Amino acid sequence: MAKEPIRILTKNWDIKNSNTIEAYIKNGGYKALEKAIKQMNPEQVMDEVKKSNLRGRGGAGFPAGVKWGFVPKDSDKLKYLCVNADEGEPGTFKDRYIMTLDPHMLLEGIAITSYAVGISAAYIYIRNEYIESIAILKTAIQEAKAKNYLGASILGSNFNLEIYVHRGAGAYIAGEETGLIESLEGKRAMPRIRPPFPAAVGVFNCPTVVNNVETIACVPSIIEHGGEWFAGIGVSKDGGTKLYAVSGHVNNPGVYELPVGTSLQKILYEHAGGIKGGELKAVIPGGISASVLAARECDIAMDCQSVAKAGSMLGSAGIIVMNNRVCMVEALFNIAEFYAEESCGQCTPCRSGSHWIKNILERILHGKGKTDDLEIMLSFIPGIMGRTICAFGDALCGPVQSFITKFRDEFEYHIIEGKCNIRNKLDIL
Amino acid sequence: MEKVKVKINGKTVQVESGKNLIQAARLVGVEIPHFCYHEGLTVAGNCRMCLVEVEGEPKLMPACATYVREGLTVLTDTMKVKEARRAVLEFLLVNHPLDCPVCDQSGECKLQDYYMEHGKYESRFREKKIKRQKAKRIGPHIVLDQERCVLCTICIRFCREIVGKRQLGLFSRGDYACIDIFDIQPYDNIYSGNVADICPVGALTDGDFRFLCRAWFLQSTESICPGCSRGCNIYLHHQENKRYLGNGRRLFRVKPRYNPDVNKWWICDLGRYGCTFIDQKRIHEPQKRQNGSFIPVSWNEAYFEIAQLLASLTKRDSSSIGVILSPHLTNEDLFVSKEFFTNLGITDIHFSAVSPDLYHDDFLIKEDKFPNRKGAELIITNSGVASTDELLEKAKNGAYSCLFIIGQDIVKAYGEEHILQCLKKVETVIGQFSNENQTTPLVNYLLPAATFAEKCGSFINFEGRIQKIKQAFSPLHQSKIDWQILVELAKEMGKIMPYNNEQDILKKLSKEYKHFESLDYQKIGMHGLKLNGNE
Repeated sequence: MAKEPIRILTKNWDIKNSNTIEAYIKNGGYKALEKAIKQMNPEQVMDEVKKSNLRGRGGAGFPAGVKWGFVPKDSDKLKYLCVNADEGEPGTFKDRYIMTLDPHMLLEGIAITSYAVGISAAYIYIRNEYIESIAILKTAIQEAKAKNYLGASILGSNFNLEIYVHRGAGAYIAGEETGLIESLEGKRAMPRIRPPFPAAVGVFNCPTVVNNVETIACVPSIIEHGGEWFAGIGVSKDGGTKLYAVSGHVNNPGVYELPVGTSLQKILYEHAGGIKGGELKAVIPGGISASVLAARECDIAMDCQSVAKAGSMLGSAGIIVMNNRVCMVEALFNIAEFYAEESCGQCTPCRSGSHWIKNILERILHGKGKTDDLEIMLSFIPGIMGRTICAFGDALCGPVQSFITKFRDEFEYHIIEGKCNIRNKLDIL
Repeated sequence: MEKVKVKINGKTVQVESGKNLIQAARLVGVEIPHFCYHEGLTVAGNCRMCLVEVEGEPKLMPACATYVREGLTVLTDTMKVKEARRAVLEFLLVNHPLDCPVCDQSGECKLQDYYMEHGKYESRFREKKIKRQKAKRIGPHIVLDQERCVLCTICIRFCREIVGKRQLGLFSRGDYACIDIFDIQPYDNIYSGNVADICPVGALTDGDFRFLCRAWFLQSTESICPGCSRGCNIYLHHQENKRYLGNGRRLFRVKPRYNPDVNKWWICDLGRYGCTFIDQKRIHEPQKRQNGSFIPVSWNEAYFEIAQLLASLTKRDSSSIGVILSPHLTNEDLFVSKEFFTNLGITDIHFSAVSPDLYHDDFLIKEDKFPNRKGAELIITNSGVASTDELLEKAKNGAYSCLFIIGQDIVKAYGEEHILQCLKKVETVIGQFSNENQTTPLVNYLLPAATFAEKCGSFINFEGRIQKIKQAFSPLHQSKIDWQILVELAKEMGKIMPYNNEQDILKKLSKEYKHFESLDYQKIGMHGLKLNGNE
């Protein structure tokens, strides 16, 4: 007997006008908020989230409940929640679906999180290009306020919450949590040195929780059904379902909600409809910051630990699929160009290294590669990885190292022959 | 202050809590290389040059942003650390232009120094360097070269945190990022010169010093800025051996000298660029006015004639001579002046601390434009007049046949009309000045004096801190140190004042004046000494 697919985040997506508060409430929406406020104290809410093994869905995979627990309880400063809706990682497009198709799930999650941590002001830092989502969220906030799910004295309690939609400043690095905070404060999105961590000193120098949209959207279900229920869905220490955003050479690209730990094979072949236009060559499993997996490495479970074990990372679970007509030099150049463009320029190794790598790859693509170019690029990695303020430098190193080492023959062919050896090559640049 | 124990390269040291690892390492004689860190500014942690190994940390830690705690074990010289430094240097130099031969920073550039110490690799860069703006005048004093910049943002932080203005900013992103001004709004503030000092490379250089002299030709002398009563500690950078450089200038630039109690790391532009008076409009030789024009005379002639005059006047009536001194003079000058004139029986001795320039702020610049008003107040006591105003009034009423003025431009201070009125009945005006000024045309005898850079001595600043100045070079042309002129004049008059140098004077001064009791230059030290009994 086939098990009924578990739908937590996508449960309302098929409903007509799913972004309206009426539709949301009709399907049991805001019950969790009511439960939290009327039946639970903030500690109990936080405990449920800890029990759920909900990990951050933005890329780093840090346990959400633990993160909330870092916010000092005795601080007399205001506390803030920043919802990271900057969704800039190439290959990632899941948060947009949540915000356009079910904004109230996010708002309810924000309200419950704020209740648990003692927050009275929350910002949704949203990618500037998400014009549709911005409009929908703003409407949703008005709807929720009108029904007293937000605003002052929520549901008759003494819990107040204002949610502000803040349009992003157009840089990838504004999605890094401290870059986001700087940007929210009106400054250049340049990541901060940690410690102090945002939980202690965040936006406007106040304790701040920064969570991804998807992370927060999981919260209502956790409160509704309990942390243990949520934890039981995923794998050990990594609970719940995950939105896998599949793009590239598959027959059915799109967002699929599946339990954390679903096998990559299953996602690609059962849900995304199999490889399109050729044979599977490589998969980037979690947005371009994740190391590439060669086809032979794709028999893995998609949870934080399993993907890490395979030498990559689950990241945002933006799965980019490449068939055998893709030139890996071009693919890496595409990625390197992005990093060279998006490095904030603060730390020397990242600023200079990203640009240098892009330049070398560009030269190789133009048939002017030198035999030691690959060694030079690989030699940069220890000088960049772990040597910068934020993880951007590390994110750049993963693809460079994995592409070059796993597809070395392609790079060498380019350097020696001055051209590409892929037959019937797809033009991806 | 609470102290914690830290182990750096195997050496255990007690460090005040709150200090970072760069500061802590200095205590054991280890200098951790860095570009973006400055003790007086917030920590940016962006250059990544100061990465060190910290026990228990998997990654290298930035020493500037890692603070000491009990039991911390730090290694600054491991292979891993050396590799990291080498990598950072390679990345920094990727786009750096090879214009060291014409760069004013050359010789005192952190990129050069660190490359020699931590770099020395073979270049692997085959790509095109990014071109940026060079030699851009961004303000009245500062020239920006974006290609030389390492983007440490030290200048931006200085401007924001110390000056309190946002005149410098970071533009563009990634490897295209650069420092610049906002549109056409210039980098113009009264502390602007400091960015040239703190810029670790040749990106921000001093327009006033541009192409004048190689840094390694310069000698450095510790001094005190004479621009106001703050008494900022400075270095005079000078050289006299290559007179073809700098159009005969001897003083090439002024740099701030760190003093935690007075000026920290900074000086204002008024002081920095004002000190050029040392080489400008100097009075070269003794002169006397005859038939409306000045003719040069020898020191001997001048001494002879002035001695004759003073002798004959004092023989008849000592009260027919008035003396105006300046708080620009050192304590030593003032003391010898006081003694010289008192010995002649003159009582109307005062100093004028009037200046039309009252610009001041709540940071370094004081309203009092004299470096030694406190000293003058302590030394010039028991005068026959209560103030210079009273003295001038007496002159106007014909009380003096002779007025002896040392160092104070009274015309600038009191206005030409008033001074001409006051001097109408004065037969002889003797002026002792280093530079031509508004008063010099009015004197009958003009004696060339040394500037503060040409003598040793001491000043007392606004809060009663005595600080010493050192001689950078000998007095220009025939000029002499003020006290020396008076000692020689005394000798001409048959009175020996037993002073051969400043030590002799301070010794006597310390015996005669309570405030200076048991002082010597050793005790004053390089950061000065707050005098007892100064409220």
